[in-house]
Amino acid sequence: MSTVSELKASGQIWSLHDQASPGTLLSTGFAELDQLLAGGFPANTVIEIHSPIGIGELRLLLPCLTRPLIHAQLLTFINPPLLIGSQMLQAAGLAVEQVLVLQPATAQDALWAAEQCLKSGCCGAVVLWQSTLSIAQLKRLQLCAQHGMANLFIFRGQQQMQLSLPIALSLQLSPALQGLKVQVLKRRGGRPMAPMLVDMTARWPRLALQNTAANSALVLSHSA
Amino acid sequence: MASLWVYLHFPALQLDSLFQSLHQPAPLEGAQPPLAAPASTPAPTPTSPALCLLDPGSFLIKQLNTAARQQGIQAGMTLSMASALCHDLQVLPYQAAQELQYLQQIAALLYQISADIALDPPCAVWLRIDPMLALYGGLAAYLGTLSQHITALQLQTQIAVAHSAAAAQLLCFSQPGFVSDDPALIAAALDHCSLHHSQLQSTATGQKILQQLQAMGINNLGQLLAIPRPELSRRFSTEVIMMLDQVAGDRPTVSQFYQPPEQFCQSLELLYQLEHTQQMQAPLGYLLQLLQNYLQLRDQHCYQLQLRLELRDHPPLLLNLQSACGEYQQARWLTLFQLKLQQLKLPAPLLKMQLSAGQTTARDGDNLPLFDSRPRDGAEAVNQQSTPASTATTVLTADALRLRSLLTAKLGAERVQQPSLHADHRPELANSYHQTELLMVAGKGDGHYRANRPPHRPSLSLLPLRPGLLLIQPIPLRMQLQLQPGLERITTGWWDQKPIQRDYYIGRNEDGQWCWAFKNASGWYLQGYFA
Repeated sequence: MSTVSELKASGQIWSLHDQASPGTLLSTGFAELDQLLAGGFPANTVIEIHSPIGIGELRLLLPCLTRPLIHAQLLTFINPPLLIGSQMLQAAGLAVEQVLVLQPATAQDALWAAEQCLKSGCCGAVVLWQSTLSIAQLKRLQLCAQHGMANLFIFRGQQQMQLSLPIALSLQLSPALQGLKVQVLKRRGGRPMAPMLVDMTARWPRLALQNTAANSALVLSHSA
Repeated sequence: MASLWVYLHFPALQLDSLFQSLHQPAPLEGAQPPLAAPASTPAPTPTSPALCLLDPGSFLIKQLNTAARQQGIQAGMTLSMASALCHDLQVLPYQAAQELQYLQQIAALLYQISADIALDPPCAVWLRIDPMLALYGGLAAYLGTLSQHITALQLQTQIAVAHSAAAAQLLCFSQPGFVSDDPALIAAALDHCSLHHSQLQSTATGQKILQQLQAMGINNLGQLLAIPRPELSRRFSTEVIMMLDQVAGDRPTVSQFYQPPEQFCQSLELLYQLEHTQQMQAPLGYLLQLLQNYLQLRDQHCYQLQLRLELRDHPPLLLNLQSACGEYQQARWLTLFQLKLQQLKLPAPLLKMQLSAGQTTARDGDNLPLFDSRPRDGAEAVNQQSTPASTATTVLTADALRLRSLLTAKLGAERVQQPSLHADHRPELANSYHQTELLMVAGKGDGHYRANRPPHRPSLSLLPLRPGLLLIQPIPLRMQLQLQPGLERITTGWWDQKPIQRDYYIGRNEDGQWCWAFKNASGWYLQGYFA
């Protein structure tokens, strides 16, 4: 019993009954996702997202990322796998001057930069692409996020069978025809739920397919 | 009283400064904010080594510290004699340029308490104090303030007061510590001054005259003054008359008063060679403290610093450091420097460092948001919608600029980028990045970066759909895509030799990725992902 209570005290185990106060929640901008997360993303903490690249994972975050920037704050992308498109940022309603893109040389520098951005109090949100993360590193990031009242979204690779981290929210994204399939791997104070489809057709009609893709053509690359 | 002058002489200026800057690396912000002088700890501790400066031209001892003096060494000794008296004597070369810089540093400090300062290189200053006495309320009060600042400098000092610059100098050399504003007392003291301390000593013809005077039995000023003027002018050259006029105050000695420099530039000679960048913190802190004093007095801040590191047998290293929002505080600059120095490996031992400030501008208060709920005092987040998003300009706070300086210092300017928009249809050009230009920001007079949003932003729904992640260069498409109906043709660039004609499609591949691909004359290419 003592080991369980120790783990509880260190925040590595929690149960539904003694859940902490839900704290501030940030609406995700998608009704289904808000419902799945009982209101939205938890604010001022670290959120982990397992997703392949290019299936709409950034678009899922966009409504939430652009919202706090009303207060003239920065949005920081650290280590994006490709260039972040300025035109996309503009279309999302962001001034490009408010966006910083960092390309640190090492993973350690990336974590340092994330900490600095979170702590500074002038970043609304930080998006970090990083596959490995230790418990100690996560704790530091969480403290910084709390301190600077900012959110950190970490995009990690698809391999989810890693060390279990004491994280507030962990999501697994997979592609779907109309948008994304979201599965909650872990949510503080939440019970396991079935994966849910987030429909993005309303926001991005051209980035969704009907089930019967009648009028679409198949293209074979010339090298195939 | 017509005029009154103070002559301050620092007999071991270079030696003392060298010693002090190394052992008192960072002057504390004490009770005297205008000078922020180091705390008054007793000057050289008993354990300090015997040090002396050697004149490299004549090989004579030029300056020495108390420890060396206790060993019986005196200025003017030869090196062999001095080393015979003290076996562990440390000898350093005397550098006139270095000493002049220290002297200017002292003048800069004294400028805060006295208006008229004249340098008497290599190691003395004149202060004309009669205009200042009304401000301080008498000679005693003035000298009290002066000595407070002088003791803080921890230099060996000799002082004298007289009614003219030349007389003060003469008194300082022959009777150091003579302080009075009574003309009768000054005149009596001057009568006993040996002529060897006068300015005649400094020139060859003057020395010849001194020999003549000595042969006549005239050794001090009183004896010289007793001789009638016509007699003197007949027997000796005009230099004697000039000297007497200067001592009497009838002829000016000082032609030029000190003007504080426009630019900050200070260097520090290290007594010991440093090999690790961690050791640089203390001397660097000292230089930055000088910078802070300089900027604080002018109510300015600075955007760019250059640190020049002189290394042994190696070309000097230059470190440039920028701050986006302008700083004056030592601690902030030191943090930035530490980040920069962490990445630096000294290729050779460090001998000397020089700090110079680039642009300095008037300081206006930090632009902190008044109603923001984000200060770091633990306030709860309140959903505030007070600022409408439609405001034309967004003022990035000093915090944001400071963060940018910090990231740039650690990661390097090329790794801190900012997306930018260009009015071009070619995706590679429209989305190109630029490094965050700190100096461009600094150039904007008020020191705050205004992020201009487009004044009439097009309705967001009218903007074309563009991917969130772009490849730097399009790559040949090697996958199957299920295309969405409709294409977008981009034909442009005929005017700048980079013409393109591409048909862009949106498609989904087997992995569920939404791709932005185009077809041109040579085939299919992938441009980006709608992440």
